[in-house]
Amino acid sequence: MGPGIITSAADNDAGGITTYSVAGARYGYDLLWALILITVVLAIVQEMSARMGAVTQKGLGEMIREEFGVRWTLFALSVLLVANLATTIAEFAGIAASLEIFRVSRYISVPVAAIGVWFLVVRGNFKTVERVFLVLTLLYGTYVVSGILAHPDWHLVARSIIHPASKITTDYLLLLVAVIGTTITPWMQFFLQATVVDKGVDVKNYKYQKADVLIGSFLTDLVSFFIMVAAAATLYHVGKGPVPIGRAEQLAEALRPLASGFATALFAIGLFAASLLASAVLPLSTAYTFTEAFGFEIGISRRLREAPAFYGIYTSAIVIGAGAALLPRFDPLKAMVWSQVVNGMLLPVILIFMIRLINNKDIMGEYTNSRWYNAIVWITVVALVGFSAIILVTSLFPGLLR
Amino acid sequence: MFLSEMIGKPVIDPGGEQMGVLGDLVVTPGAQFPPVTAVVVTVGRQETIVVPWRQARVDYGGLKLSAARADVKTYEIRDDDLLLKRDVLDKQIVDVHDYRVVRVNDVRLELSDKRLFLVGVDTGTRGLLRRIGLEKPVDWLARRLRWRLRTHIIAWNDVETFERSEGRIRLRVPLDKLASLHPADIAKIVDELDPAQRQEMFESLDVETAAETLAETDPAVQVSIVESLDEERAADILEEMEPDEAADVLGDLPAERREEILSEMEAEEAEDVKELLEYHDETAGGLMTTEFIAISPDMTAEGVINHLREVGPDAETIYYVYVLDSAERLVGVISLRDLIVAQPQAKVAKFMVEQVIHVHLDASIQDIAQTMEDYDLLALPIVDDENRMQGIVTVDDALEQILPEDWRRRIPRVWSK
Repeated sequence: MGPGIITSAADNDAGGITTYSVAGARYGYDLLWALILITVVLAIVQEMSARMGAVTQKGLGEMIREEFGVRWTLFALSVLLVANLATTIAEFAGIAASLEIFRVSRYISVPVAAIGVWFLVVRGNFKTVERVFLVLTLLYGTYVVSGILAHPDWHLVARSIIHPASKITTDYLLLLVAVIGTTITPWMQFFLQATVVDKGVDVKNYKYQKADVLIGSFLTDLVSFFIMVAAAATLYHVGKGPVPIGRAEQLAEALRPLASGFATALFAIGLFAASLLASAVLPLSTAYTFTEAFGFEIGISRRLREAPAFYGIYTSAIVIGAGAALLPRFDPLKAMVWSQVVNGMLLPVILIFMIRLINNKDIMGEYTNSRWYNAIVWITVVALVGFSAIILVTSLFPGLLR
Repeated sequence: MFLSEMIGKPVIDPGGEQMGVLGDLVVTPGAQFPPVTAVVVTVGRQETIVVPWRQARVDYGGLKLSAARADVKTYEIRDDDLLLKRDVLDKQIVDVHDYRVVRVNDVRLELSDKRLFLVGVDTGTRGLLRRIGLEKPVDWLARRLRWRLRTHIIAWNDVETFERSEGRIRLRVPLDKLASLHPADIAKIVDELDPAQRQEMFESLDVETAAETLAETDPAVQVSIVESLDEERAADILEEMEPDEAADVLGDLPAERREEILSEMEAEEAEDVKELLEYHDETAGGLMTTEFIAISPDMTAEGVINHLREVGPDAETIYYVYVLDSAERLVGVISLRDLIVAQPQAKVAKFMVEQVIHVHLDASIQDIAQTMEDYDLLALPIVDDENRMQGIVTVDDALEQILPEDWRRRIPRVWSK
C-alpha cells in the first residue's frame, strides 16, 4: 500500500467520523459543498507533502529546522503539539464513547487502551498495525453502503452543494472549520511526508506516488461524503434547523439503513477501531517529528534508557490524551468535534510553512509549486484565518451574526 | 564565541553608522581550524555585501568595518568555501569521532590575534537553548537543582559536512576523515544518513573502503544504496567485496538490476557470485563463501606455509586449510596451529585430520550454528552430494544470522521496510 492510501485511511479517525456525522446530522447536506472543495485542497496539500519528501528525502520537521532555525521550529512544532494533543484527546474520547455504547465504563476502557497502545510502540510490532489499517479501510465501506441505502434525496443533495440553505451562524462556521480541520490535519502532513521518505520514494518513482496520493485523497473524502450523507439522511429534519446531538450513540442512526438492529454496534466497533489505531499513530508521529527536528536521539537508540526524549514525548502524549478523557464532566462528543476545530484553526500555520518551503528553489530545485497550487493553498489559508477570526469575534460579541 | 550570538548583530561602517546586520560568515576550509575569510552583511531587506575579513573587526555587540561601503573590495565566494549559516547551522553533519550523524545547533568560533577561527559545532541541548535565548535562565535553574547542563562541542576536524545546491547533495571534499574509520563504524554512520547523502558518500569513497562499508551496512540500506549508484560504480564496489557478501546484496535486488550489474562485473567475479546466488538464503549454500584455502595431500608443511603467504591476503580465513583430492573431494583439514607445530618436511597427509566435520549445501542455519558450537569451530566446510568442497561458513556470518532481531532494534520506524 502506498503512503497516500495509508495516510488517508488514518484520516477518518474518531474526530473525522464524529465531525462528519455531526455536520450531517445538524446541517443536512449544507456542508457538502465545503467537503467537495476541501477534497481538491487535500489532494494538493498531500501531493505537496509527498513531493517535498521525495525530492529532499527529509521530513517536514527537519526541513523547517534546516531552513528556518530553532526558534521558528519551536513555534511550528508547538502549534503542531497543541493540535496533536487535541486530536489525541479526541481519539481517547472516541475509545471512551464507543465502548460506553457497550456499557463499558470509560474508567476501564481508556486506561486499558492507553497501556495497550503504549506497549505497542515499546514492542515495536508494526506489521500488525499495517494489517489493521487494511481491515479498517474495508469497514469504512459500510458508510458508503448505508448512505446509499438511506435513499437520500439526491436532487436535494445536488442543490445543497450548489446552494446550501443554512444560515451562516457561529455554530455553522465552527462546524465548517471542523470539517476542514478534520480533512486536512497538520499531523497528517508531517506523517505523510515521513512515510514517503520511509518507504523510499524518490524523485525517480515519484510519478506513481502522485497517483497514490490522489487516489487516497479521493477515496477518503468519498467515505467522508457518505458519512455526512448517511447522517443527514437519517438524522436531519429538513427545515427544522440544527438538530441537537448530545451523545455519540445518536450518530449510530446513520448506519441503520445498512445494519438496522446492529447499527449501534457497528458504529461503536468502527469508532473504536479507528480511535485505537489513531491513538497509537498520533503520539508516535508527534514524538518522531520532535526528535527529528531537534536532533534529540543521537545515534542508534534502542531501549527506553537510550531514547529518553522519544519515549518521553510519546508517553506524555498518551498520558495527556487518556488523562483528559478521564476528567469529570468530560464530554467525548464535544471533545471530538472541538479537537477538529482546533486543528482547523491551527492548520494555516503549517500550510504557510509548507508553502514557503516548497517554493524555495534551493531546496526543491525544479520541483517548486505551480502558480495554481500556490493560489489555492493561499486561498485556503485566508479562508481558514477568516473563518477562525469570525468565530472568535462572534464568541466574544454574540449577536453579531444573526 | 558562538555563531548564533553574532548573526543579526549590527555592522558599523567607519563613520559610526550602521550599514546593515551580520548575515553569514564565510570560511575557507583546509586548516584544522579554518579561518573566517569574509563576512556577509545584509543591507536592508534583500541586498548583501560580502566584505573580506581584513576589512572587518569584531567589536562589542557587533562588527566594525574599516572601509566605507564604496571601498569594500567584494570577496568572491569560492566553490569550496563554507558559509556557516547557510551550510552548517541547523544542518546534519557526520561526527567522525563518535561515528554518528548529528544536527548542528550552534557553531563555535574562537577569536585569536584579530582573526576568527572555526573551532567546532555545538550539538548539545545547551546549543538549542542558546538559540531560543533560554540558556541563561535554564542554566540558573539547573544550578539551583544541582544538575549540570553539559556542553557538547565537536571539534571541527572531526566533522564531515554535506552541502546542498539546487536540491542535490554534495559531500564536501576531502573525505579522508571518514575513510580512516573502521568500515563497521562508517556503516553505522551510513545507516543514519538519508538516501541522497548515502549515495553521495558511496560515490566519493575509494572502492576498497566502499566495499568494506557496504558489507557492514544494514541489508535494507544496502539495497537502497546499490540501487542509487550507476551500474559501473556498483559493479566496481561489488567486485571488491567477498563473493558471499556481494551475493547477499545482489540477491535482494530486482532481477533486472541484478543482471545489469552482474554484466558490468569482471567475468570471474561475476561467476563466483552467480554460483552463490543459486542457493537459498537461509541454507549453508546461501551463507558460504568460496574464498577458502585448498591444498593437495602431498604438500609439505613448509610448502603450505609458503603457499599461504601467497593466497593468504585474499582468503576469508587461513586458520583452517582444507585438503582436497584430485576430484576436489574433501579428504582432510589442517589448522594453522598444526602447520606451525609440524616438521617443515612432513607431508600434510600424515598430520591432517581425516574425519572432517562438515555440512551439506542445504543445511539450515541452525544446523550450522549447532555444529560450530558442538565442535568449537571457527569455520565449517560445506560439501555437495559427492563430498566435493563448495565453500565455508565462518563463525561471524553464522553469528549475524542467529542474533535475535531484538538486539539490533532501533527506535521503531512507523512502517516496516
